[in-house]
Amino acid sequence: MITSRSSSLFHRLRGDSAEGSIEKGVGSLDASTAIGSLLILILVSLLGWLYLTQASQVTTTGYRIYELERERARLQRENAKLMLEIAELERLEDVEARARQLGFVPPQQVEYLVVTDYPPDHPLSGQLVATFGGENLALNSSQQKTENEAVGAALAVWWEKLISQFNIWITVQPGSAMAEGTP
Amino acid sequence: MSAEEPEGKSLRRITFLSAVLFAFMLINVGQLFRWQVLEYDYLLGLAKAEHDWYMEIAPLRGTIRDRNGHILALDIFEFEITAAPPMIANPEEAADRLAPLLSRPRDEILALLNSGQPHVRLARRVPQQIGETIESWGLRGIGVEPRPKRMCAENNLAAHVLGFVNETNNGYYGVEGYYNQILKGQAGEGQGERDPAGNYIPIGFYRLAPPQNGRDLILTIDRTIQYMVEEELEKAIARYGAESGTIIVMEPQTGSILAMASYPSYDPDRFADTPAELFVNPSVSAHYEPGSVFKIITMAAGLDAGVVTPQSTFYDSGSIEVGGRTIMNWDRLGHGLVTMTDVLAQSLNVGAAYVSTTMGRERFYTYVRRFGFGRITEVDLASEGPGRLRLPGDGEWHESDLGTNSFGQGLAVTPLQMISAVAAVANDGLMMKPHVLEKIVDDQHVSPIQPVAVRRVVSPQTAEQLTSMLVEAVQKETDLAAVPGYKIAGKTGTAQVPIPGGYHPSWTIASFIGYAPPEDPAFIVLVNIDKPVVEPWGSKVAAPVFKAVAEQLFVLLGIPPDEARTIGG
Repeated sequence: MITSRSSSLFHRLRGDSAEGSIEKGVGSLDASTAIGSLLILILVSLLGWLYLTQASQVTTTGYRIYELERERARLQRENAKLMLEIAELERLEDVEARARQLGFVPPQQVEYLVVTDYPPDHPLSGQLVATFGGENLALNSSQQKTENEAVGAALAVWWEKLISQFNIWITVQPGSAMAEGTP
Repeated sequence: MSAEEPEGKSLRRITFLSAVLFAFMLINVGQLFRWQVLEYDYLLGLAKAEHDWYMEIAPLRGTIRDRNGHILALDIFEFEITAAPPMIANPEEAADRLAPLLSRPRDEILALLNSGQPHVRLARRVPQQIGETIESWGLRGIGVEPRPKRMCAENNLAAHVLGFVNETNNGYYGVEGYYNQILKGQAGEGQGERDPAGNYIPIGFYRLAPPQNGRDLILTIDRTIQYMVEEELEKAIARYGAESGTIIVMEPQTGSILAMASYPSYDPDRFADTPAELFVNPSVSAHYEPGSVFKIITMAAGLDAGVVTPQSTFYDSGSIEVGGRTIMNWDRLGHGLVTMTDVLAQSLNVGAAYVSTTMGRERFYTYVRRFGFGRITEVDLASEGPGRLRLPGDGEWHESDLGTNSFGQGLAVTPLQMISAVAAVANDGLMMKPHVLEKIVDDQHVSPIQPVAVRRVVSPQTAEQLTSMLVEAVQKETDLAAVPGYKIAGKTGTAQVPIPGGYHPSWTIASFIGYAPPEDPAFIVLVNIDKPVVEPWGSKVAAPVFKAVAEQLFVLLGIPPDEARTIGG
């Protein structure tokens, strides 16, 4: 019994009777395993590559953000420094001292020249809001519009006059009038 | 027996080993339980402290500019220099390099770097240039932390208007105090992870919430006018040996304050070394008895109520009794038959008391309240006071107050209340809310502040009549305030200074309020000179100061003389 089982096992091990089928089975198993392993390997590689790429990009971007933040802070400080510099250069005490150094003095006598036909200043620089007990009394917008239009028209007339005066100066060349008058 | 003996021995050994292993396991589980459950928070905190970093990012406070865009106050950066001694490879070299820049003895710095403490501060308030130089060295273990600091660009110009900012970015007094929430912005924060060397780990957790900087403010203050006014005030204080003084310049038509100066002043950048009483802005907080300038209010009330006209006459015998108290003129003389215009021009107390008593208490105090006395003007400056006004019905009011109040005694006002009230007369009877803010600016847009009319206090006709009377008053009696070529509407005041039990025998507050051009005022100026020694009178002390200020205002604001304006239309 034992000998017979051993003999059968021996044969199987040797592959005498079923060698072909075993080889066949092993061959088909190897192919699918290899393909599967390859696929897994590719997938793992792909995932690894993706992870590494992403990690690399995150690192790069992280550094970039960090650097940009630092740059932003540096520029903000630089901006503050420049504003201070402007303020110091504009400081009235210093401006006055510099002006005096350069020989300037406060005006002793101011002369005003009256220019006729000069357009009047607009009386309203902004909308006046009046409140009486919570009631809002903003100036009537149509009234303001009319005043704007009136001033606009006056300005247009004045501008036209100015332009025509310039045209006269430009078209009449120096010496031309003399040339025309010369016999 | 002999076969069982090894088996029993093995079993005992196995049991013993199991017991030992079990004991170890129990110890391990116990330890793990302690770490994971009992001391979880503590250990997590330790770990986080080791590899997490967190910092609060201070916002920049909004810049304050004058109406022409010139910077009045801004944030600059100073640096705090710190060190992590365990991380410093060569303390001696670090001390050598840091000592000259930090103006601190090398040995002191070296002692700190060798202290073995995890973190030490080497210097505070290091100027930006030095901080950035140290930062550029990139010394391992040396921390360079920028911190915003407030600075007034024009030193102590407009100090009382601006106020100051402390180290925690909180503003006090003035605009800094009033608009603190708009100016201060919101702090940001940064969080992330770091490696054992303290370097930032970009792939780890990182979060940054940038700070929201404060918004900028554009004021109605004109720094050139402010500068000029402060100079004139200082000169006047020196000239008349006065103790203190105030000048306010305002646009009557909008309530915009162009300048507001008080002496003595202080440097807001050095607030820590300044006596606290100097922080208070006298223009909005100090109470004083206004004296004769208050006759403008009394006369406005009398004219508007129809009790008197500019031509109304009364016989000035030199005294009048009101509520059992005898009121006399400043010169203790009777002036005979005088008009209401004479009452203003000659500043007759008896005439003013005649007007108030003729009106009666009800009507008189209705007008006084309408002009805004006894309550705050709601100006956008911190620490405004309401003044002090006793009214009929109050326990403290006395019948004689009706007489004394008419010429500015027995009541206390702030300089801003006084100028706002007279500005209403200059503005055709319409009272505007005084303000110092013109625009709020942020990255996105500009929000202009609209002038606000508070109420009509008198009719335009009354205002016009009173203005003419005030012009005449200056022409007749206050030539020291007159500016050649310009008409000025104004009134002097010489108020006694109350002390416990009465009035001081020699102290006065010399004042003048005037506006010009009368028909369309571009400015109104209040001058208060407190306790002048050389002269006590408003007409001698405050009027010339007004003239000096007004002369320059005509030039700075581009206002031609009356004749030129008339010809020019």
